Amino acid sequence: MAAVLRCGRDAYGVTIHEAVEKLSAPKSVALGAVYATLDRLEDKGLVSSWLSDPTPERGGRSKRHYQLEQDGRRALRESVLAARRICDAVAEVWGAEEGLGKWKPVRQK
Amino acid sequence: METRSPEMIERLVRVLVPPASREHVLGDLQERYVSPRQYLADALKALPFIIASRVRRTTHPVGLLLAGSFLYWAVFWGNRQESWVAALIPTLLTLIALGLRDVYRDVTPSWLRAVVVDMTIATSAVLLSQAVLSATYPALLLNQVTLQVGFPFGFVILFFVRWQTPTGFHQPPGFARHISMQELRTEIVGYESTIRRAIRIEIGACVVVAMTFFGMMWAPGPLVSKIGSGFTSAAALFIMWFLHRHARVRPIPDTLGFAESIATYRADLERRQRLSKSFGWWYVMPLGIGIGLTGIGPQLQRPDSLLSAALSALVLVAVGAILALVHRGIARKALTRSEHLAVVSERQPVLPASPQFPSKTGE
Repeated sequence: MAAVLRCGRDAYGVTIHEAVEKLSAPKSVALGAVYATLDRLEDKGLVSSWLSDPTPERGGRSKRHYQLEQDGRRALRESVLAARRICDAVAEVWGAEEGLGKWKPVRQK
Repeated sequence: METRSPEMIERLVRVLVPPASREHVLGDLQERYVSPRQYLADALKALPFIIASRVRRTTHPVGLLLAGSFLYWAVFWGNRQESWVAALIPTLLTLIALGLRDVYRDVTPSWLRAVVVDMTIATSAVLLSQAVLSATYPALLLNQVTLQVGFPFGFVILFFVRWQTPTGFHQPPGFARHISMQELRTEIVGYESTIRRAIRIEIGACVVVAMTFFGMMWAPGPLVSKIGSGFTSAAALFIMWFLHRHARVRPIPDTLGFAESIATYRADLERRQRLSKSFGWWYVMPLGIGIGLTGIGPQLQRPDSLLSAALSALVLVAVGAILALVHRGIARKALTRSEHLAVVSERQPVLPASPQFPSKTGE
């Protein structure tokens, strides 16, 4: 869902997969796993999809675009808050030893 | 340098990818194309996930259980075979063949033809298994009576069930807030044709049931069976009338605008939801009483058959309850779709990406 959010209006299979790989680096993620996850998210109503017009660089084939729905935004917000709490809890114990500081938002350039 | 995958490899991948995912998956693979080897490797690595996701979307546990039970007990006569494995093998093969057909289901203008193909594939799978077993393990072959009676008759019933209730279609929950007029019309046309076909088949089945049980009234047998046959015949006629009067399709004109189409469609979904919710009362109960009197009534008159009568009654109640529950699920889906349509707006043509949104992640 974070990858769909980051891709904005250009969220489709290839771009979402690239975003997921960047977010999960150094772990690689299979393209098929991204499709399967997007299907699950769609079935839960967290994202919705539609087919765009065909494009010549894709052999005249359409893209399936995705966007977050309201329930998806809510779920992502809750996940982010939970992840922050986990980061802070771990940083309290490991912070000095493992070089982990308290979680800080990334400054937008 | 090639910028496009070789046609033969693309054709192979196109065949392997389920139609519902074909367009965008092939497009994505083409966009990532570097070399034929990379393209094929990408496709083969993605395929298991895509097929598994499609299986998850098109296979329903309760439906699978019902189909498996029907095939094992009523078609392949599991309890009359030399070994239970003899009925299990064709049961599993039929379920797998029909499951794969659902995974690879495409939108087709002719449902009848699609179901004929489904049953041809399933029949071929069963006959092939018998051919292989005859050469390798003859003890696991189905007996002749099953091959000549149970199997053909059971598959005819399965044919009509699949024709009436098309499987293999998956509609996402419809949470999309914006849909185009074209998408709405496609959904409405598909909905109307599915309901129309189901009602025609159901009415045809009611005619057959009414005539059969009317004939049984005149056959020799206990009075309670005759009363039950008459009741079942009357119930079938009642259901036929009810379907025609209350359940037939009221076409939504394609001249309506977006908002009017949504309103009319929602009203019809809510009507369908009320019918499905009350299915137990106007369908299951009348037929169940009639069939119960016909089949179980005579058993109750014999003291030594009370246990078998009780078991038969239990099975009848269970089947009726499952059917009613399935229709409650259909009612819930219709209501959910109607609720989502209440907040849907028409999607306008897609504009080029605004400059403030990045075109590629992280760039």
